Amino acid sequence: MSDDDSLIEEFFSEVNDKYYPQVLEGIDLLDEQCIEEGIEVLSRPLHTIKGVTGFMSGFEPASTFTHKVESFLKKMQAGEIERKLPQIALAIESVNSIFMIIEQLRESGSFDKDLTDDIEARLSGEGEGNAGIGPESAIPIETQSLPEAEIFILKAKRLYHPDQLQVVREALDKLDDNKRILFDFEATTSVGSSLFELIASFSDTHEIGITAMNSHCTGTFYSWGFEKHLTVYKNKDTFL
Amino acid sequence: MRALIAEDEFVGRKLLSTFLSPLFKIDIVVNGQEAVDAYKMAYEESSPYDLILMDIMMPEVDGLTALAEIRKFEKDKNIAKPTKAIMTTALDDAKTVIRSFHDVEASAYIVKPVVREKLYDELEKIGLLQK
Repeated sequence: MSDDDSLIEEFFSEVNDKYYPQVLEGIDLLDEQCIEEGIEVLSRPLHTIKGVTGFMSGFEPASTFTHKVESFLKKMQAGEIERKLPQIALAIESVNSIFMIIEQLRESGSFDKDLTDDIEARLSGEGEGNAGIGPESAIPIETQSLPEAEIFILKAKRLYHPDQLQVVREALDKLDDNKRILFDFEATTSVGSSLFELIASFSDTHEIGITAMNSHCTGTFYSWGFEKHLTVYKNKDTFL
Repeated sequence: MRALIAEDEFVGRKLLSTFLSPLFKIDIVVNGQEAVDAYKMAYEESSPYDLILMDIMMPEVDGLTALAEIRKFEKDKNIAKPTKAIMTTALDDAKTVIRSFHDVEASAYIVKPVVREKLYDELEKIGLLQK
């Protein structure tokens, strides 16, 4: 085993055993809007990920990305960035994405650059005071009523904003009990755990399936344990 | 800007001071204990170091232990902006690299031999040099 392999193996062992649990704790705190505490808990594992990936051949993009996330969190901590729900959601999405990138780099040597470019643009936009959602994301879903099920097609590329979640909630509220519902994630790049939480809150009264999630949405879904409440289907036909 | 070089080998000290002297006012110490003492003295004189270059394998107190003590001092004194520290070492085993970033919050890690370009790259990354 080369020195590099040994470092990578040791690093991922630390990530799984130590940093990921710390990061989940930090994300939970951010989700509860305990910003100071959340960022404090996140700072040590993120600093380590930034430093060690910068030292690991082939993982430099993860280091650069983590540096940008760290800077965003520091600005939020210093009060230079607002601490409202869209900014908190962006912070959580960014931190989750770090883990996705390091896994992608480990598995394939490449990573989803479109996604990181998108997040980096939003991180830097927030730093310049451009908060909120774009008009393309204002109507986040389209519904199709079939005889045997309701299909909710997510239309927003990113679904985090409370206004977007409210639209989803209202659409679910309108349904009678015991419906079969499928959420189609085909057009969506990333969502916050709050969306899954919202959908899962209806799983007692409805049978709810999810399909066509990309790796980022899948990562959020499983890391928060939503498979206990929602079933993932390969495609629409399998669900129907 | 001020920099502290903690390095027990003469040639290493000479090399690092040559690289840093155009950019920093430099102090040099030869072990970890002296590094901690120099750091505290600079703080008490209200002229703290902007950068520490810390060798890891040094007599008396090693670089990781010394930096841990400096970080504890910073925390006790509520110093908002910890001093940037670059580990300069012959050790490149996984545990030492990870400990440097996680346990003592090193800003960067350079495996010897240190060359000017690599050092300047790291200084740029941590915001102490604009090329």
